Order: sequence, then structure tokens, then C-alpha cells
Amino acid sequence: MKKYRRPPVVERVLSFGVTIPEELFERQLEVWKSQINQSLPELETVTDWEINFTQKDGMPVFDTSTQRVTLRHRFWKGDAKHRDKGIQVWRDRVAFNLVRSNADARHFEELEAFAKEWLPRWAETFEVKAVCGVSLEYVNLVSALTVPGFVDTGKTGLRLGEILPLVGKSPIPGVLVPPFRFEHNLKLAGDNPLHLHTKLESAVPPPNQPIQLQLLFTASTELNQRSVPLSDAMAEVPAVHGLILEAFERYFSDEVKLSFDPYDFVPTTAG
Amino acid sequence: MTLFPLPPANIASAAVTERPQAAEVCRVTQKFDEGVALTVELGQKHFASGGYLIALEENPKLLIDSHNSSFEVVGWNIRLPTYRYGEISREIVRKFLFLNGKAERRELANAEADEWAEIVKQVDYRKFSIENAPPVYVEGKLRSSSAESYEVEWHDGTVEVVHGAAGAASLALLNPGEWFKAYGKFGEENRLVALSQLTPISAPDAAKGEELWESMASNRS
Repeated sequence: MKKYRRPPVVERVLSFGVTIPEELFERQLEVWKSQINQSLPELETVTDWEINFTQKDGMPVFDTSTQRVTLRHRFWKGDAKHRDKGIQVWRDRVAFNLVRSNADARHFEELEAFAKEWLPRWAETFEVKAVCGVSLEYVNLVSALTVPGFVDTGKTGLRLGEILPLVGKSPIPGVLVPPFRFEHNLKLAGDNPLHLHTKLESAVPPPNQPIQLQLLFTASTELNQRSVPLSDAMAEVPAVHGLILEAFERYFSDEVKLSFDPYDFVPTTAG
Repeated sequence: MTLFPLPPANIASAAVTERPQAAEVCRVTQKFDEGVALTVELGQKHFASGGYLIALEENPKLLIDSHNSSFEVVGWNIRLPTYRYGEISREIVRKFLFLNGKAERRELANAEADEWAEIVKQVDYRKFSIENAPPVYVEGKLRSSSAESYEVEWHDGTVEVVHGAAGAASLALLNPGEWFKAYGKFGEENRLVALSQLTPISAPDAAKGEELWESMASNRS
């Protein structure tokens, strides 16, 4: 198996879509907090907003009939500046996050083990028997820090065509300039529920740094009409991981992948 | 003009990177009045804290004050800074319990009485009363049992198939036909939700019970 010592991955997320009744979710959230408190002690409540505007007498006004805020609960190991790994819970999803630690991009196997440890406990707490599938998301940073050999002092700061040929080369002669936004949805052939979402978008660069882009790969078996036992969903994890790896190999150029320092990884079996 | 952050299309935490969360969807030429308070619906109507659950009839509204970085839960007189969104459940449960206790003791001040009148309109009080009623003394007979459930005939003659109730496993100590006394907590539709202090007893003597009942003083002529 090929791996990279310096891949541009900054975060990996394994998540499962589900439907939990609101009363049960809120009631069991306290139980969940007490279970997880010792291992993941940093609690963060995040607000997700849906805001809409309309116009009245030429002025923008809030459309109060369609505005909503929901709370998402995150449980982290590591403080706000040094996130290590965490679990996010919604009524309709649970997500396991593994964050890069400076130069150590970490491995998928660590995320998989983290999810295997906590998924059964989450399922028991929230009385979950089935999910609609599994999703794996890789967050890649394309910047002067992760691809230093592909930076120039031109307008874009990055030689995008050499890094991501499929999206970085214009079919019409010219120079690509920011903002960048590219999105692709792919459904694999046949009855396979597997699909891939790829998105490239501008990210806020650190101070005094040139442009920074975020490349997201999301491989998923989730479909609204699916309802599969948790064990079946976990059995689909290798397939979504394999699709992420294939996307990584095909979107990044051979030259930039060499700069990520590839090596052959041989999994060790437990002795 | 940009909107507040939209729900992210993906589930990565952005723990490491900061990317533009807001998306521009329309453009207007006139200045937007930021002094206008924003009212949004909170996406839940159940609030749990400290072992209590308060269910509202509808999702409550939040009034967001961007000038002071605070918000109010409309109709509850609860105001918090925006970094305390995670404490909404605790504050709603606290407010309800404090005012409920004062209302029971008839200790509400005038302003509190107005608050309470507004809150009671929003809360499913029946559900709260049922869930927080104390356990009651019961007697019953185990009629039959299986791996997952117990068929119980209560002292008033009603029959219930019990499964999933906390403490119901103590019924496994009985053989079919045996009587017991215990403390039972009953929920919606008078179904058993918890059983405690189960003790086997002799079958009640119906004749003696009738004699005892007849011997009691009454206002019969």
C-alpha cells in the first residue's frame, strides 16, 4: 500500500447519517456528555444558521418565517489551538474527526480505530440500530506550506496546473486567478451506492502567506432511502477509504505526489 | 452583502483551516441596517438538564442582539452572551424549576407571576407532571413472563405487559401466579416506567378485603 510522509491532508472525518428522535437525543445528550468527558473533555457548542432575506421598500429585511439556528455539540481532545481528535453529534449524524498534528499528517487507521472504539457506545446511548451509510471526508490544504516547490511570485502564488491538472488548467489560453471554486459529483457505475464529491475552494491564508486552497474529497455510501445495520456500515469503510485514495492519486499530479514523499506501507498484524 | 454562516456542506470541523463560511447569494445597493435585531427559531423544543426534560409546544425563538453579542430566549426572560449558546437547555430547565417551585408554594412575586403565566403557555406541563410524579405503592400478580416481557395484573384488575421499564427485571424473581408489592412510577397512558423495592407477598384475601371495606365508616344512610 502506498502512503505519503508529507501529504497535504489536514483533517479526516468519518461520519454516519442517522435519524434520532429529538426528545431521545436531547435526553441522552447529558448521558453522552458524562461518558465522554474524561476522554474528550473539551466541549464546544457550534451554531448552524439558516438565514434568508427578502426585500421591503428596496431595503433588505430578514425573512423571519424561514430563519433557524441549530446547535451542534463537539467533544475534543486538545484545546482550541491544538485540536487532536473529536466527536461531533447531531440528531441526524455522528462524526469522528482526526486533525493533523503539525508535521505529522497521521493515518487513516488511527481514525478508523477511534471510530470503532466510540461508535458502539454512541449507538447504545442514543438507541441507534441502523444508519443510512457512511461518509469519509479528507480535507487537503494546497498552500505554500504543503506544496512549497510549486509556488511562484505571480498573481496566483500557486502553479495550480502543475498541482491539480484536472482543475488547474484552463481549456482556453489565459491565467487562472482567484477566487477558485470547483465542484464535482460522481456516482460509481452500477447498483453501488458509492459516490464521490470533490470540491476546491479558496481558504483564508495565514498572515503573510500567499493564496491557500482547500481540496475536499468526500466518499460516501449514504442515501436517504438506505437503512443498514451499523456493522454493515462499518464494513463499507474500506470501500469509501479506497475511493478517497483513488481520488487523491488521480487529482494530484505525479510531480506533486513525489514531493509528498511516498513510501510503501506494510500493515503489521497483531502478534 | 454576505449572509451569516450557512450550514456547512461538509462535516469537517475547520479545526485547522479557516475558510469563508458565508456565501453571497444576493446583492443590494442600499446599506443594510445592522441595528435591526434578528429573530430566529431554535431548531429544537426539548431541553434536558440535571435529569429533567422540559418539552415545549413549539420551537422557541431567539432574539439576537449583534451590538451586545447576546441573545434572548423569547418569552422566557433568559438573556445570555452568544458564547453560551450551549447553556440554553440548562437555563430553560432552571428557570422552569425555580418558577414552578415558587408557584407551588404560592411565592411568586408580581413580575415572576407574569413570567410564569407566559412560560406555562409554552410548556407541555402535562408531560412534565407525568414524568416527575413520585412513585406510588402498588400490588400486583405476575401472570406470565418471557425473555423480554412480564404480564402483570395490578391490584385494580388492569393487566399490563411490562417491558423496558427500569427495575422490571426484579419481576424475574417471581413465578407466575405470585403476588408482590412495590413502588411503581407510571408514565404516558399509565404505563409502568420504573419499578423498585419489589417484595413478594401472599395473595390478598378478597373476602377479608371486602369485610374491611364494609366496616369502614361512611356517610351512607
